[in-house]
Amino acid sequence: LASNFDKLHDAGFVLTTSVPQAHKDVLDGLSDDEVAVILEVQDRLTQADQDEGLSAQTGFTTFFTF
Amino acid sequence: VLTASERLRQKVDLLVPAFVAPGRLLLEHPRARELYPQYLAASSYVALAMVPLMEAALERARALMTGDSVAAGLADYLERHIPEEIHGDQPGSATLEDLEAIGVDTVALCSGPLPPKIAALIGTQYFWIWNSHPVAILGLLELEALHPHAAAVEQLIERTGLPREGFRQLLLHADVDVAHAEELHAVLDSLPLEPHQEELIALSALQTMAFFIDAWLDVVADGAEAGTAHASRHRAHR
Repeated sequence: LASNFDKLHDAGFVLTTSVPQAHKDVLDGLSDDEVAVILEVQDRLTQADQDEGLSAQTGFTTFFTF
Repeated sequence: VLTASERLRQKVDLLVPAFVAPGRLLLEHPRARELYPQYLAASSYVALAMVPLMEAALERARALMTGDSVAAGLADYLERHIPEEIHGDQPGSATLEDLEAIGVDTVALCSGPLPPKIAALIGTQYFWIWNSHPVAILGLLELEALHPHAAAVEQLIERTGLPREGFRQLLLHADVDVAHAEELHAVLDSLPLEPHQEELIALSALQTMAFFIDAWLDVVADGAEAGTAHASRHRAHR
């Protein structure tokens, strides 16, 4: 089974694998429901990032936490 | 060992970069003046529902408090906090006054259909309050720890050129929510929360943040019709 860290990394919420263990522990301590909410937000951010007008106007870039 | 509020904060912090992004985009947006009323309207639904939700949580907490020390502590907190959140003659009236000051048709906002995600957020809170535990409301109230900053609000006033009266609640919360958040965290740390109750509070907080991120991005991405357009037919205010 994929860990929360793996799921969030695969979704692009976490962009690097070199994450401090303390941060991995926080991610792996999330419930499935909490992970689902974060993935939903990540999808929404990705959608906004792909909006050409938004990117051109504001320099929007995908946000990630670590 | 971390406290309950610190554990909550660890989870909330994961979404803070996303939560603050729409506000920064609004500040930098060339159409900030046009978009701000829609942005504030999108935020206002939860502000309008906040006191009724807390009153429902208080009622439920009072019903549970015999033999439930979490409910008893929650009731004690909400009895103190609800009056602090009324702001105006009626709950939410100050929010509506700010919206009217920048040309939002508040009659349309209050009588039109709620954007589905907002309805889901408010409905989920009621469901948890009555069917799980009213302590879920503390996740929604974690918004007080994510309050606007006065300097950013001042920048927005300058950038939009809109009347200062449309920013009174933002400026007020930039001030009072510092203390409100401290009190909320002290309450969280004082309650004998079970792990499943902490999870409920965290899910409530994350879902609330997710709603705001989604609603605000709808506005600043200039998909502005989605969700709030029915409430944002401004009168000419230029």
